[in-house]
Amino acid sequence: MELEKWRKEIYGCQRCGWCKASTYLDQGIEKICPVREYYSDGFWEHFFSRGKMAIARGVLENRFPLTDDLAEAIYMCSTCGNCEVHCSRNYAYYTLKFIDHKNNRNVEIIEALRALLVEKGYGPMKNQLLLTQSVEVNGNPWQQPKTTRTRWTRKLKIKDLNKEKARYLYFVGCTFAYDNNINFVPPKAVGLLNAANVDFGILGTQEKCCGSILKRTGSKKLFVKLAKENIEQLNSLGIEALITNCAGCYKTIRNDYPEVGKLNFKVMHVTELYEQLIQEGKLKFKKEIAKRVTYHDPCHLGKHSDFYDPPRNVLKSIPGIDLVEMYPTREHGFCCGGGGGLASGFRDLATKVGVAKLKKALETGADILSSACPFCYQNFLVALGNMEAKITFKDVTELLADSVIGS
Amino acid sequence: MDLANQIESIVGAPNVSKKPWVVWGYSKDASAVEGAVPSMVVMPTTVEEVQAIMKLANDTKTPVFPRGSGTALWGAVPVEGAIVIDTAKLNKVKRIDEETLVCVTEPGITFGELDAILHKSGYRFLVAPENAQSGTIGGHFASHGTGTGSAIYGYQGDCVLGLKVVLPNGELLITGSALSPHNPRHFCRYAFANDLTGVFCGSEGTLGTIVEIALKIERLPEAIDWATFRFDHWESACEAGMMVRRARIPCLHLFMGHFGPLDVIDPKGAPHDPIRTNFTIEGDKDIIGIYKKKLIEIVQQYGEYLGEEAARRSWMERWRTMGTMFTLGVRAMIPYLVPFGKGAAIFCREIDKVSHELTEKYKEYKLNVFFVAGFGVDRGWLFANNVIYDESDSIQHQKAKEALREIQDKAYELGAIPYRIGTYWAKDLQQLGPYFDVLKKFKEVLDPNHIMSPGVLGL
Repeated sequence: MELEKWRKEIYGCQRCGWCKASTYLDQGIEKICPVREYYSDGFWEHFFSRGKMAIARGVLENRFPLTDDLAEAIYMCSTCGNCEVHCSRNYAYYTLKFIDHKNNRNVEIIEALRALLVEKGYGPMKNQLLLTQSVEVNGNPWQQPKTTRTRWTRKLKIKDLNKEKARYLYFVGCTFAYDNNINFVPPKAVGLLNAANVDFGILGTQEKCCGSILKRTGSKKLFVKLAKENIEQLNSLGIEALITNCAGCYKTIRNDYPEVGKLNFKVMHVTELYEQLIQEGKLKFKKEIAKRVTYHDPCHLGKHSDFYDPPRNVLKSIPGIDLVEMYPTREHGFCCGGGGGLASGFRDLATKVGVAKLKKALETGADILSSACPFCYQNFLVALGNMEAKITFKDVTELLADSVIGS
Repeated sequence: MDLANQIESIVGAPNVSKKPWVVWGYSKDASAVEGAVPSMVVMPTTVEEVQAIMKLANDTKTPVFPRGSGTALWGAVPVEGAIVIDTAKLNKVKRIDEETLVCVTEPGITFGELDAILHKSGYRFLVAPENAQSGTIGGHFASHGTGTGSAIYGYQGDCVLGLKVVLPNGELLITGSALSPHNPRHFCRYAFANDLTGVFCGSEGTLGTIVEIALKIERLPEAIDWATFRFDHWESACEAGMMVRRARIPCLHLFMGHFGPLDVIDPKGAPHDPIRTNFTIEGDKDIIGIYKKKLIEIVQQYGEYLGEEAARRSWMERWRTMGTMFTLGVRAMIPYLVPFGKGAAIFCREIDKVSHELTEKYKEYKLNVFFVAGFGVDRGWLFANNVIYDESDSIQHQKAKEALREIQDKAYELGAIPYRIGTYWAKDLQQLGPYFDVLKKFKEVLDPNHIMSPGVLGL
């Protein structure tokens, strides 16, 4: 049982409850767990991390049988990792500062619980099952044929890395490739890379899902199988780096794949490359964007990968943009509700969390909320549809392209 | 209709659970004690619901454990078959009375949540535990309550003006001036004869379920300032703390940290000063400088002034300071009180020595027994000992409980005063002759069926 791997961490829970509720007004921190705060019954122990750690302990001690409602409680979590950041185990008494929160494994423990639930037939949730089955059948979670993966590339000339070599692989990811509401973002990324004369290509219809959805929702065996296939394919390309504008793909390939197999290339989020290209003077700004913008840290990038500055630096470099922080920020930033299978498993709850985050963005007086993740994009679009707000959402790529390319 | 169904008819199905995996999560607090798994957990949303639950439990002689945030460190855990009343949904602020400087709140709100609400109105509560972020107002009051603010304001019990308590028979008891049918406002605790509020302060859920608390509040201070000092000896550190109190310097937080043991956790990161004290003072803008000057003059006679930064950070993170040395393992903690005076330094030296001896004694089991010092509380200190262990190892867990008992016995023998009892100090309380007899009589009068938190306080 994978859960055994985290025995010490599970029993290491101090039961202090910091993952339940913490308020630090000076840092803008008022809430910790999105489920505890926005699920109507979120006050029960099992809806925030301490209770989930208790369940993990109970499972290890064989204290109760697994059930469907237990599974639902375990899946009702965006795995944002805010509980890890605010865990007291993580707090250095003598320096009075949070230390490396990656010492905590709450997210991995929840994923291990989900893996057990899948193994025993209690997971994933019904809607999530459609996605995981689609990954197996179609190579993407969105129940779309493999052949339409490149629909976003129409009229674009992009190197096909199945046929020729390039320095970078642009790994688009299923969500940006297939979701008609947001699939205008990859062409903008391509435009930017072309504008900077970057030698890159794509895998086209041969690109497969990174497996993030499988990993997050507990289909561990399928994930390992898919990851192995992808690692073999990606390692054969001879690329220097894989670049992606999907935070989920970034986390999965960069953080999770090395557990399955060695990678012979670097994994970069596209904003990291943009930052580099701007510094080198290879991306030139044509248009001023006189807007106030606030940036939302996607959990996959921020809390899970310690990746905070490149998207901000890119936004700051765009002429006219007034970048304002939305508090709590960076590792303390509140989740959008779109990750960890929450949006696919519990749509209403994910929307509520998204609306709450949008309200935080509105407090900054920003005209635009920006981020660098397709799941955040999807969830904020749903949230925007559920509230009247004078704010729009734009991916960092969109804003940069607007300024550099003018479209 | 069985008991669970009856309770469901009171609070509604979503607010009660007897699912094994749910109730399991309510079997422990933050102590080393393994509690029994309760038969059900109920989450009432109104006072009337609490009354109906208590009456039903009393009629069926079912044990009841009121629960705040489950963060007690002294073993306030359920017994087999108990109903846990989780007060999480009794979390509303009823009113903030700016005339009398009183905040009336339900017990399940956390200090962090209440602080956010009060702060926005320009107010603050006076005393909050080190674990204020998740700790509840009700749970803290039920165990007297100390923490930040205690150096000047004493115990949380001292900051409570009245209560609403549901007694085991379901009756609602109101204490303090709000009992008046003609002027039901909380502003005086000592109205209507005896101080019945005090009867429930520290009762740890053994006499009833608190459903409303009237807390003293104050305006946010105009200014706050800080100072940190290092000391080579317990004598100088303890004396300095006492002298600051005697000088009536408005010291919000007087935190004395024993950093020596932290070398074990991080030899590079821990300060190597043997003892540091952080002072946080409050006052109006025009006089805080005078207080600070006076503070430095006094304390410099005993230790070295290190500036204000460490104390400032300690204050900013005041609700995360104590007991956060968890990188080594789980912490079992025993807090106790020691009065100001020369005896405090002797106590510190002795208990520190015993802690080292116990670490050595339990070396085979990899336990770390620390004396962590503590903070000023009115006329004395709240000190604490930690035992750090690995709870995934059942032998270590058992040995940790034994080590904790040993250090607790030694502290008591050296003059420490138990004040948060739970099950940890229950046996010691039972030895107190007429005092314990009176406690038992209170219990018999208010809770004749012994349904409330059986085992806690040794009752």
